Amino acid sequence: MNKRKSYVYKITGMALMAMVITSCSSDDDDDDLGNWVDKSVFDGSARSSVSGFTIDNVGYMGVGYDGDDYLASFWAYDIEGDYWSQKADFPGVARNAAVGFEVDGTGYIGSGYDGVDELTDFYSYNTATNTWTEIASLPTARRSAVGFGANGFGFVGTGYDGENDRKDFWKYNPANDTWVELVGFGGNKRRSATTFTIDGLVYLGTGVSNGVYLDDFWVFDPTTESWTKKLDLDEEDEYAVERSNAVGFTVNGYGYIACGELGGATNTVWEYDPSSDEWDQKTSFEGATRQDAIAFSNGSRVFIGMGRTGTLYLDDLDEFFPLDEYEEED
Amino acid sequence: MISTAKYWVVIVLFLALGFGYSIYNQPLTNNDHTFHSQIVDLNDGYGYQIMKGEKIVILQKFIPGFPGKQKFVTKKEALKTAGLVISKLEDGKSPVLLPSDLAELNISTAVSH
Repeated sequence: MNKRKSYVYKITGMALMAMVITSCSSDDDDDDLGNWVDKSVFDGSARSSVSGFTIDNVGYMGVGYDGDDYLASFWAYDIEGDYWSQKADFPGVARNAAVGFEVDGTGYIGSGYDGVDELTDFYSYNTATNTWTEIASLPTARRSAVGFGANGFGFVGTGYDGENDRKDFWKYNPANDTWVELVGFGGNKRRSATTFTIDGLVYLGTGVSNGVYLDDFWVFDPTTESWTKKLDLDEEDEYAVERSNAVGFTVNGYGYIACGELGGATNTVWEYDPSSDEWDQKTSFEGATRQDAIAFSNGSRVFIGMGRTGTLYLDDLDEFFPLDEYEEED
Repeated sequence: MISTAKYWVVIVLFLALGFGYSIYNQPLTNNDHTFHSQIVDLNDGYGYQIMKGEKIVILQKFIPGFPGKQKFVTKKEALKTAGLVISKLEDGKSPVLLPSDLAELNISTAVSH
């Protein structure tokens, strides 16, 4: 009798435990901060290695590859309204792995890969008129480069030229439509690296070359056009920031590197604090693990979407709230 | 024996409660998942929006893919273009409209692509 009673107690206890565990698992999984909210209604335009930029409260993205075709169509995501519009087609040959950046309210997309060749041609996009204009070509062809706008200029560097990974950087001056080589980047050659900009300083890291994921991390000051080395991405034992084909973005003064490729698609997210030069892991991206995604950020809100996991091309978009507790149900 | 039976009742009650809770906690299913379109009157032309239930998915004030701000000349042209987008979405395809799609629909455009 006593034995049976204790057995019943055990079952009751286990049942209770099971209920407590299931009901708490959604928000007490771990200590990482950051919440993801699914915004996807854009089912059907799956593509990866897209290029784009964010101007005011609109994220622009286009070109890319959907597993069958290189694409030329170009879309705008309205952050406030949470809807998409198809804009003027990209006028160059359809491509992926191009760079996109914004300089003083104008968008730029260029370089990339059309399935046969690495490309040099570049175009500017005027958001007010919805028109593209061809600008001077990048002096050397490449894909999987980094591109960013800073201090009134566009910058493109690193990447893969079809034979070699690159470490050279070029500066585009919109005032006279010319590219000038920029010397002084002390990092290794690489492709599929990531940048983000905090308070006018551009941080560059990650990427891969000859199968090695790079662990160096740099900051570029566009006013002096000088590069400074920061602490390595494996400085602390618990860091796992190294990867390629990630997205970089900035929210509220912190930099982020998210998703990407590390022997397969990953969904981990790391936050960079520029004041301490330290990294902190955040809640992993909630959707499918992915590489070659895109991030739209207006500085206070950020959205990550598209990309691919293996040969599955993705079309969803998630908003990231880095300071919130994780909620599974949204 | 009576107390054992009591424990069984408690367990059954707990399981029933847990089951009820899990059903109650299911995310509410939105009944209206269907795509439909609305024409947007832009004074000197027309656009369209693609809705999924009550939600705007795509707002198209200008002819998709074409440079500049070309509006649809007639309501009918906007409507048949939106119809093609919806049929693509319903087929699980990309909602992208190609120049060839618009040519097939005979959409009037001021500037050729």
